[in-house]
Amino acid sequence: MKTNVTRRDMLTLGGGVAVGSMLTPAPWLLLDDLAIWTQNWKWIPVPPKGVRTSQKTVCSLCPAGCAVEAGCVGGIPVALRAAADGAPLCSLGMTGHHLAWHPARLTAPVRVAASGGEARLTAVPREAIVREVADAMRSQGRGTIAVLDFRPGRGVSWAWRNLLAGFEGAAVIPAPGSPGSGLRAMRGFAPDTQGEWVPDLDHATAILSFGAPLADGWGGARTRARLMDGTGLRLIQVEPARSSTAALATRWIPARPGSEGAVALGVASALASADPQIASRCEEILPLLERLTPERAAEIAGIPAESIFEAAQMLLDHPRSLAVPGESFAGGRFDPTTELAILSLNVILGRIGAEGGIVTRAPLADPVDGAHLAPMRELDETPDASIGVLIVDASAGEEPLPWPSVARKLAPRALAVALSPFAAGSSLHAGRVISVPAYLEAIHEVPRACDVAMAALSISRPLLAARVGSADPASVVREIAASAGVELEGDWSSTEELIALRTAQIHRSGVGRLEGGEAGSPDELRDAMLEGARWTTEPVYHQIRMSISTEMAHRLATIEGTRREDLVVVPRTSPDAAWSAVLSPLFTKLHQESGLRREGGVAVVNPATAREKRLRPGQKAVIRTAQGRVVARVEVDHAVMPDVIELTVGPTPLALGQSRNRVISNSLDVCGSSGTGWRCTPAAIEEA
Amino acid sequence: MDKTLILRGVRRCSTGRFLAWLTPWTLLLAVGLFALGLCLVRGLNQTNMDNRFAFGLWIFLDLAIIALGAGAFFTGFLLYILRKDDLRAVINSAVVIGFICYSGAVLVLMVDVGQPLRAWFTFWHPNTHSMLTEVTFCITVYLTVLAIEYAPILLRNRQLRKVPSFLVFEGELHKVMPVFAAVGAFLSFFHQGSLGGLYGVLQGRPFAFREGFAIWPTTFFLFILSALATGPAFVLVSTWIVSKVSRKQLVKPHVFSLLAKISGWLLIVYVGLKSVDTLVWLNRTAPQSGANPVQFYAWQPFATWLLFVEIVLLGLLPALIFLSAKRRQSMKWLITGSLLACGGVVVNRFVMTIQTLSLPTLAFEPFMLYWPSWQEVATFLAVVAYGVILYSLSFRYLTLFPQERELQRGGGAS
Amino acid sequence: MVGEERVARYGMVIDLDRCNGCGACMTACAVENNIPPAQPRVNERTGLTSMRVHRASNHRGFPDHEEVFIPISCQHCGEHTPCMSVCPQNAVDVNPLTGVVSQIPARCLGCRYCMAACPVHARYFNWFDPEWPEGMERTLNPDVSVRMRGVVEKCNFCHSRYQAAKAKAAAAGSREIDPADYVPACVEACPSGAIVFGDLSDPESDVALAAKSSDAFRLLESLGTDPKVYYLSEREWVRRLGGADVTRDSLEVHRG
Repeated sequence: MKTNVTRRDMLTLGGGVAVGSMLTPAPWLLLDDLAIWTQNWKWIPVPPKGVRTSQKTVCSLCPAGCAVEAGCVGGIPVALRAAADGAPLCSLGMTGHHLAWHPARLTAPVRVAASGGEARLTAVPREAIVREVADAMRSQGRGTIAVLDFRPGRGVSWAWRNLLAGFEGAAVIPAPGSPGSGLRAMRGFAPDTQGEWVPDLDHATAILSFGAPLADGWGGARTRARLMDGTGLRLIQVEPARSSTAALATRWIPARPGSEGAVALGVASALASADPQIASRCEEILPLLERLTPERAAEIAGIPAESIFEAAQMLLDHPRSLAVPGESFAGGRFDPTTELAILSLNVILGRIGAEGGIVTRAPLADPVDGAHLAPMRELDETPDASIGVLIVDASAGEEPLPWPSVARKLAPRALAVALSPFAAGSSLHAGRVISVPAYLEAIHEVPRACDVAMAALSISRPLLAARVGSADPASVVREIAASAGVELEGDWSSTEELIALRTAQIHRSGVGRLEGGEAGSPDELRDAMLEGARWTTEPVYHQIRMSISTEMAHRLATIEGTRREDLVVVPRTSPDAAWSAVLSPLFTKLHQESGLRREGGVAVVNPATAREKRLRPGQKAVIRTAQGRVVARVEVDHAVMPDVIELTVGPTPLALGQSRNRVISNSLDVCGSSGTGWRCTPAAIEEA
Repeated sequence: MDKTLILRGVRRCSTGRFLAWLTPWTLLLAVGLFALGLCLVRGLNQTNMDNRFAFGLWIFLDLAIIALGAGAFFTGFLLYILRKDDLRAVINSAVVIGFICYSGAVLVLMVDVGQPLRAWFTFWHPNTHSMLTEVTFCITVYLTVLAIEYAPILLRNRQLRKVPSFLVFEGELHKVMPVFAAVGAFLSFFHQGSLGGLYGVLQGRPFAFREGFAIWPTTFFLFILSALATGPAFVLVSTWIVSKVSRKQLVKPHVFSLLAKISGWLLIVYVGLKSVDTLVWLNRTAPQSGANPVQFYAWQPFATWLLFVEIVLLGLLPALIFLSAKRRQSMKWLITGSLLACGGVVVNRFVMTIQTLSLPTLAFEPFMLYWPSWQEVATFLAVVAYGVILYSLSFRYLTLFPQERELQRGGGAS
Repeated sequence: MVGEERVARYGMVIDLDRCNGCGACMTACAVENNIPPAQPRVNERTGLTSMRVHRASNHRGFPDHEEVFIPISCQHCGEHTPCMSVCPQNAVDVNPLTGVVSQIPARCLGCRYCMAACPVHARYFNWFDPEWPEGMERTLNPDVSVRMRGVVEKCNFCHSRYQAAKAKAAAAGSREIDPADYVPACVEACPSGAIVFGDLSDPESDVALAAKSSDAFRLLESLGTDPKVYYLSEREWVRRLGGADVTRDSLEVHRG
């Protein structure tokens, strides 16, 4: 019998197979697999697996030195939290563990060439750079040697001073605008002071703050907590914008930028009229104060005169009160005369050395006693075109700084070398960059800045292995010394050894106490600090009588002629973002993904100003100052004072890891004029 | 060259000219498929949709073409169930257009979702509370029904009908066509309504939210009604376009008239109900949610003029045109009215999708606009091109217009 | 009571008078939940910020201009949860024991209907594939899966932390978690302590007491979705911002 397989048979078979297979698991498993594939494509990153540990360290990204508890997987930190009872970490601290992998991370030393506003990098061996620096240091007639130290007070800072000690005219320049740097102006009243001037905010009951961002950590965690609690602390905040500090203050005085000196003298004038004892301390400036009355000062500042009287009354009513000049995160310090005017309030009130006033604190013990050290010198005290070799130490972080104010100090054909973990920020301005470890890759010291009265030191323990191409900054100092034929004091060759020497010194001195740990020996002290304990001191009070000299009076008299500028540009950046050249890419959440913060290069003006200058929101505008020009995008906001341009400084796309283009300049570069800082710069604006 | 595939007794242009006609559409299809490929491979960041405009051009146009494609099921319903035999002249064309509209919509939907490979999840883990589940089920089944309705038209091709088994199959199908028409009508009612229900149930969007009957908001019924009302109008317009492009008379004029009359009656009822619904919504429903009705039309360009255009200009006006017997005799008026009516349903879908999402729901968020990206536009144009190509092939090789031969013979070569 | 386990209603109270817009909550959320950083093309409308701080003002001129910062995450609506009822795949789970509304990214089709349904725009779509700079994936949170593109995600009150608290309680032999062990990332990160989290159904808890304050309000309460996130402010103009009436004095159009 012949079997005839017809087309119909094939169709029937096919149909049967189709229906039958639906009754088997096969197609359903295939669909399941499909679903699983859609969850696990090869290009989707997978979270790490490994042993979970918890490590303690200290955040070294800014001088606050918050204690950190790091959750690690396989030895790599995956979560950074505040250690128990500590202040919660800021956004920068919470994402610090990303920085080691930032796209702008440098893993080898490079030479930087500027081309078309962008930096081109070529890898160079570190020995070559070291030799070049050493040769430049030894050669005569080139100019002086300077180190720009963004985090003064570290053991490495001491090592730089030791390195430069033998060179004439050499000095270490501390970061020009960091918190508490304004207090350095107290040297104008007392040039021979040993130690650092600091505000005793924790014991004050009233503060007249000129722009100090107390709600953002200026002055320490305790002051901030007292401010948030709203009891026991009166604050009058003099600031052109209603910042979070101004919003929490008892009174916000919206003084025009640049008029703070006049406001301070207006308050002094009110004080002198009210209290003869105060008047006796300001004899030299009494004529000035008679002319610069509170009403006159109020007029200059664009505020009601009652505010000035209220501020004076507050200072009189509270024996433990003080006036402080604050540094803004992008704008840095006030000009020197304004700082003197503000600080003079403390002098005439007799708050110098008193509890709750302006006090001194001893600097941290040096790793090696009695070494020869080059002096510290402010940037604006450095003569123009005088620096022949500039070393920028950004190894522990950096702050926004308009590079032209540094470049001005460089001699022609000067050599600039930076130490930085990143090819971003200040390192792009230097001709050579030595790559150093990033946060959590190496041991760091975190000395407290001069915005708190207690000298304190924390040590940040590394949690990651340093990259092969990164050099320890202290060993770089050694290498330069060896190459330049300089003998350094002390037996150390790494940051770790410097820290060991210093902790030994601290232990020997017997000063201070350990917060969060116990220590009987130098090693125990160091070990406790590595586990997050902080060594701290108490403020020391001894009243110092000071008065205002004739020379000071001459300087203060220039405030009388404060001109009201048509338009000024004031730089702005966010508090947490101001401490590092790069930010974790997750900062896009706060900027481009939500608009909560503005990105860099935005000019924010009051609607009235926009109308007057014929600016439209969203359009590009050119801002011109004596420093140059910059193109920014215009936005209008009622939160900004009229006739003021708030220019946002960062972050740049490079800082967020978004861009391959290493754009060198920053909108901040347009701010500043010689010797008066960059906090408030006269400007003109027009639509591009 | 392909003469043997073409029905005897009708004239079609030469193969060369036909290919020339197809070429630009094929190119458009190619570009569109490239855009579609980009969206599938690189993800939906190729579009300009965002977290506020979660639905964009595609959803809006999907809803619009599904509403217009309603002509398919409604004509079938009128023909097979209500026995309006005059409509036999256009039923095939309507079915093909319906098939194109629905298959195109499904294709666009596959690109519109973030994970097309998970499309079957809705069938596997359905949420009975969700209108979108209903839409998914109904549209999928209805597409199958449309394919089944398309099959006999395909099988009646001059060459294909020579295959005996096909002829038999087609004949059997023809016998059960009323069943499919009824099923199709039922499914269509439901998914047209559910598409309206998609927006009507949004408690969180006072602009879209409506009260209703049981689980169905009023938009459910209004969408059905608007689709029914404009379906015939779209059939009218599409037939007219085809006859203009092919330069032939394809249907007898009284068919147009009938379509217009049906459309007109349904439109006037729709406009009446829509106006009532709008008043209730503005005066009761929205205030009950705490919203101020003023906020719905406070921002340009979506101000009250849009409401007026939707209901009066593109709703009431075409209804009045269609209801006038005199106007129904004039082709010019018929086309004007049809275009207005179709425009009205498109604007209504636009308002429910795009305007809903553009309006702020929180006091501190802004009104937003949205412009589609070229990839979105190109993908949609690919669907249009696909439709034109498929329709052109169907028109050339299949009998879409049974009256054509008769009109052709009757000395009616235009 | 469901079985032997206590039914909790986890919720939050956010004090808008303490929030200064620092954004630490947003950063903490992104770190905890493995949210990828944005691609260069991303903007405010396509960003992924499960916790997002919005800015609003009293619309007065300088110097009377005041701002308020409003952190908004999923409000975990309890009544007719809008997103849950519209999801065609049941990819939204409302946990009967905790009241937490969770998204199931593995089930999500990416149709975005839930995003249209959410009145506070708390749902975010993965428009892009997740991408971190090379090496940075080693810093991801091992307790949270990384989502693929094409799915919707949102705040789930740090579900992984709830699981960890439950595991800890189970290891100690208890069925009930210790409230101190379950703290979402945003709550932990807020430097002003503006966010309080806990069980609203526990009348003694901080969050329940704060929610009963006369200064407390919820966003879009009149819509009837019963959100579990409350806001506090002494300022009346701030409390009015929660209303569904969004008319305002000036017409604004966002850069579209």
